[in-house]
Amino acid sequence: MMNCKRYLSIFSLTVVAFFTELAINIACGWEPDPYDYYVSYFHNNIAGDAYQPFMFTAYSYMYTEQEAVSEASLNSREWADYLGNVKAGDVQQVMYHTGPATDSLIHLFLSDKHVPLPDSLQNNSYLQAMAKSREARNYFLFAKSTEPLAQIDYDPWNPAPLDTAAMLTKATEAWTLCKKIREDEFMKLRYAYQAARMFHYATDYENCIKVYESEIKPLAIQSSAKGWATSLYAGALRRVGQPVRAAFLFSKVFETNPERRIQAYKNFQYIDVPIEEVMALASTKNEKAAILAIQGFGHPDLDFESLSALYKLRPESPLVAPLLIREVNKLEERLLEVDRTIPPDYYYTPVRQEYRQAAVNEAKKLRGLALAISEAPVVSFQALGTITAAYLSWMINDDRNARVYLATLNPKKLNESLLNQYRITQLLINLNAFIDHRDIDNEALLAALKWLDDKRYAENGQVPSRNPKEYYEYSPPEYQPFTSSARNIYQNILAPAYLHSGDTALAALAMMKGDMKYIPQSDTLYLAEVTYRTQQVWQEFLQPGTMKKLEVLKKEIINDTFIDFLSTPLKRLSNDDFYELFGTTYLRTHQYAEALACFNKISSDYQYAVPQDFYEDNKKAFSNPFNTTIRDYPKAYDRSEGINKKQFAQKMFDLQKDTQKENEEAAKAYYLMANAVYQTGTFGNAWSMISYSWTSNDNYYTDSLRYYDGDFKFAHTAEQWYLKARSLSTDIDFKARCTFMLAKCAQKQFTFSEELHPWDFRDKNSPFVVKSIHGNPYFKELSDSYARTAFYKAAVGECSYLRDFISGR
Amino acid sequence: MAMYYQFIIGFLGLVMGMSGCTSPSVKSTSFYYWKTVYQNDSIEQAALRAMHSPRLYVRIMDVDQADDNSMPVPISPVRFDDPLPDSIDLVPVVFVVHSIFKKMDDQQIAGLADKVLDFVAAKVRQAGKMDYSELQVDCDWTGGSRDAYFNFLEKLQESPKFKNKSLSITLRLHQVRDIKRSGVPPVDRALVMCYNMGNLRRYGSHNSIFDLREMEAYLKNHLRKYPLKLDIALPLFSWKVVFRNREYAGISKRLKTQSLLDSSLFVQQDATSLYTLKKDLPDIGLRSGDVIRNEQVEMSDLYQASDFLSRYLPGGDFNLIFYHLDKDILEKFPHDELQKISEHF
Repeated sequence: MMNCKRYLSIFSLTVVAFFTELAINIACGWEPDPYDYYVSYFHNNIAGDAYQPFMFTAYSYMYTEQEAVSEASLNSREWADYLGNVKAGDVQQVMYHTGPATDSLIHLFLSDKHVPLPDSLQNNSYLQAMAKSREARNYFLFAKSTEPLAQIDYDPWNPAPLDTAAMLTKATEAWTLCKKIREDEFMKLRYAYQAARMFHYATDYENCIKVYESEIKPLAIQSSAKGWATSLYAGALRRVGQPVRAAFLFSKVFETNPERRIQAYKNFQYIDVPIEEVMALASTKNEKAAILAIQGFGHPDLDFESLSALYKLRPESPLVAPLLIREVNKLEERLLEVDRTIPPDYYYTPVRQEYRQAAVNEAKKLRGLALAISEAPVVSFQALGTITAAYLSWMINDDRNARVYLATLNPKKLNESLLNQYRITQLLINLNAFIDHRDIDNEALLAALKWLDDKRYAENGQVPSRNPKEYYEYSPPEYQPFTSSARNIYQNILAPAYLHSGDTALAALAMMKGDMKYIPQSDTLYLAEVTYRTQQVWQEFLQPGTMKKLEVLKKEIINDTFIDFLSTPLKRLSNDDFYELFGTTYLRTHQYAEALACFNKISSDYQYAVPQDFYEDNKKAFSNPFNTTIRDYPKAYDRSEGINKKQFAQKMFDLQKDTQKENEEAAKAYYLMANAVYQTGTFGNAWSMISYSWTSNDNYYTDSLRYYDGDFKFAHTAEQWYLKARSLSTDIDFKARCTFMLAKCAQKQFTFSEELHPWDFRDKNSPFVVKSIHGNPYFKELSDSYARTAFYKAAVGECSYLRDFISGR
Repeated sequence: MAMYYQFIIGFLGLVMGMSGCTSPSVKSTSFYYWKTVYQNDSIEQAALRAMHSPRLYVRIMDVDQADDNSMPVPISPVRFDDPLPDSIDLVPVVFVVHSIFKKMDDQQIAGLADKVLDFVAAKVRQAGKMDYSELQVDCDWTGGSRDAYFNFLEKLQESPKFKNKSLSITLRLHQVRDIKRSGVPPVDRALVMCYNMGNLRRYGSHNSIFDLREMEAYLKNHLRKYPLKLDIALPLFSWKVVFRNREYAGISKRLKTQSLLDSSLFVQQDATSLYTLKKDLPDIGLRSGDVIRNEQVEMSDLYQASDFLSRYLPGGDFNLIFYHLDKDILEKFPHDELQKISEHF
C-alpha cells in the first residue's frame, strides 16, 4: 500500500511545517490591513481629517503617524506674516527643503550679500527679507547652527553620547539673546524656544523649566511655537518628578497644536498617571474636554463614558465627532459579521457571540446619544447625529427606525462627506428590503450601487499594468472607504444572500463584482486577477448547473438590468478560463462527454496549469492518474509530460464506453477509471484534475465539504468502481488488487478531528488504527480470500498497514 | 623494608595531596556594576579600595530585539557621567538575550560581533579607559540557541578588534550540570552565577535568589568536572516578588521593606517570607490581596555558599564577584563583612 512510516514522518513534518506548498495560499502572505480588517460601512472621515491619527484601528497604536497639520507650513506661515510681503512657500523652501550645499550658499549670502544665490533662490522673498532684516537673519543663522545638535539620525549602534556640552553652550547663548529682546515677542519666543530645546536635549531640565517660566509663559503672543515650548516644558517637568502637571500640559498642547497632537498624545499616555489627578488641574471646559478626548482615543474597547462625558461638558467640541465615529467603528467590529458560508479572509476574526448582546446594548446607548446630538443646537453636528442614529439602527436590524431617521434629513443640505454616508446607509437599508423581496425601487438601488462603484473607481483609478495572470498584488495599506464598503456590500451582503437563497450563479457574480475596484476596462479579465475569496467561490462552489446559467449570462443579452449590472465582469471573463472551470465541474461529476465539450471550446494554445511539487524542489507535478501503485507516497507524478484535463476527460470518456463491453474488458475499464478517480483525490497524483489547490491538511478539514469532496477526500466513487471491477472479473490476482485498492479507499473514509490525531497510529487502540487497519473489512477479505495471490505477496511486502493488520499489531 | 614502603606511601600521599587537593582560594574580589548611569560614589569607591578590587564588571548594554522582527540593538546602554578610577580596570559585560539568535545566519552573527566590539570599545573610552583586557558575555543560552551563541563567541574572538583580549562568559547552574545539552562555550573562563537559582515565578515561600539545596543539587557533582576555569559570583541583592491570585505578577520596585513591617498594610504568613497586602496601594501598583515574597540574601547565606564552594570548586585561584555594587546594598553588607566572605574560602 504505502511506506507508512515514511508517509507518517513526511506527514508530520508537513503538518508541523504548516505549509500549503502546492496551493497559492494567501495565508502565508502579508499582515492584516489595519484599515480594512473588519466589515465597515461607516466611513471614519465623514467629520473631516483633523483627528485622523486617532481614528479607530485595533492593529496599530496610531491610525496614522502623519499629523493632520504640517508644522513646517504653520511655522512658515507665521514667519511670512511676521516679515510681511513674504510668501510662506518661500520660507518653507529655505527653512525645510535645502541640502547642505545650498545651506552653505545661503549662509554665505546672509553673511555677505554679494555672494550670488542659486537660480532657484534668486527671487526667494524670504531670503530677500532676511537680507534686509538683521534680526531675522541672525535668528535664521543661529537656528541653523543648532540643527546639527538637534537633528541626529538615530542609530542604536552609535555609542557616541549626545554632545551635551555644545547643546548647553547654545542654550545659554539663545537665552542671552532672548533676554536682550524687549519688545519683539515673536523673536523673543523663538530664541527662548531654542534655549529651552537645547537645555532639554542636554537633560538640563531645571534650566529648561526656568527658561519657559521666565521667558515664554509671560508672553502674550499667539504662536504655534508656544505650544512647542510647552511640550518641552512638560517633558522637563516629567523628568523632575512632576508627572501629573506634565500630563496636563501635554493635554494643553494636544488641544492647541494640531501639528504636535500625536506627540502630545503619546507623551500623555507614556506618563500614565491617574486621569482624575490630571483632570483636577483643568479649570476650563476646553481643558477638560481635551483630557477626556485623550482618554477616549486611547481606549481600544467600547467607551461610551468618555464620549458622553465630553458631550455633556462641551457639546460643540470638535472632539465629539471623532469620538463618536470611533465608537461606531468599534461596534462594527463587534456586530457586523462576515457570512462564513463563503470562507473569510485568513485574518478575519469572527464576532464573539457571547459579547454580541452587550454590543447591541451599547449600540442602543450610542444611538440615544446620536439622537441627542441630532437635536442639539450645534447645527453642524445635527446631520452627523441623525445619520449615525440611522446607521446604528441598521446595524441592530432596526431598519424601520433607520428609515425614519434618514427621512428627517434633506440630502441637499448635507456636505459631501455626510451625503456619502447618508447614501451608503440608505443603500444598506434598501439592500435588506431587496434581499427580503420587499417592495423597493430597484432602479434606485441599482443607481446607488453604480454610484458606489464610481466612488471606488475614483479611489483606485486605472488598473495598474502588470502580468494579468498574476493575482498576487501587494500594496501598502491605505484607507479606501468606498472600496471596502463596495466590496463588503457585494461580497458580505449580496453574495451570501444569493447563496442562502440557492442562487449560486448570482452569488458568484456578486463576488466577482465585489473585486472590480478599478475603472472598468474592455480587455479580458482572468480568474487569476480576482481575489482569493472570489477564486475560492468560483473554483469550489460552482457546479455544472450553475456554470450553465453563467454561460447564458456570459453570452446573451440580459433583460434584467440588475443581473446585467452584476454580470459586467463575467462578460469580460476569459473564455478559456471560463470553459476550463466549466469542464472541471463536469470532471468532478464524472460527466466526461460534457467535460470534453467544454475543453474543446478552449484555445488550442491554452496552457493548462501544472502544479509544482514542494517536496521535490518545485519540479512540475504532471498528473499521472492511470498509473497504478500500491503506495500513495511519494506521489507518482509524471515528471515529463503527464496528462491535462482535456486528455483526462477524453480517456475517461473512452473508458466509460469500454465499461459496456464484455466482463473482463469492462472490469479493466472500471479498474482504470477507479484508479484515475482515486488519483484525483488529495492523496493522489492527479488531484489537480478536480481541485485548484492542495494542502497536506486536506484530509483533516471535514467541516464544510465541497460537492466533489466525496472523491477528493473520501474516494467514494473509486470504491464503487473498484467494487464493480472486482465483480466483473474472474482473475483472482486482479480481484486481489481491487480488494487492496478498496482497503485504501476505506482508509480514506476515516474522519479525522482535533481529538483524533493522525499520528496516533502508533497506538493500536487509536480510532484510526482500529477502524482503518484492524477493522478494515477489505483487509479481512484480502487476507481471507486472496492470501495466495502474487499480488497479495507484493502488497504485504510494500504496505506496513497490511502487515500490521496481519500481525494484529 | 617496611619503612621504605611507608616512606613511598607517605611521599605519594604528599604528592597527591599537593597536586590534586589544593583548596580553591580567592584571587581577587570585585563587583558587578549594573546601573544604567555610572557615577562615582564615595561609599562604593571606598568599598572597592578597601577590598583591593582590581576591576569592576560594568554592564555596558543588553542586546535584544527592539520588536519581534527587527535585528538586535543595544538596549539601555550605560552612560558614564564620571570616569572610572585609574586604579580599577573595567571589564565590560554585555548581556545578550538568547532569542536574538533564532533567526540569525552566520553573516549576521559575524556582523553582530563586530558591532558589539565597536560599541564596547567606544563605551570603555567613555569610561576614561583606553582599552580593556577582558570582555564578559552574559547569556542564558538554551539547547536551541547554543550553536549560534557559541558561533557568536567565536566570532568575537576571531575579530582583529579582539586581539590580546580574553573572553569570559557567565554560567547558570543548569548549564554547569547539563553539559551534554548546554555544551561548553569556546572561551577562556566562565563565571558561575550562584544566584537566581530558584523558580522566581512559582508561588511559595522559597527564596529564588539563593537556596543552598539548589546549589547542591546542581553543582555538587559537576562543579569540579567543568572543563573551564571558573570564577564565582555571589548575590547581595534582594527583591519583592508580587503574586496576584497566586500568579506571578512581577517584581515591585517601589515597595519598601519597612512597608512590609507595617501591620496596617501587611500581614505576614506565619513566619515565612510571604506578606499579604491588606489594602490597595495604587501609587505602587499593588492591590489588596496581593502576596509579596520578600526575598533577601543574608550573610549566613554567603557563608554557606562559600563553605559549599570551598568543598566543590576545583583547586586553584578564582575571582569572586559580588552582584552588585550599590551604596544601599553596602549598608547591609559592609565591605569588611564582605572581606570575611572572601577570606572564608
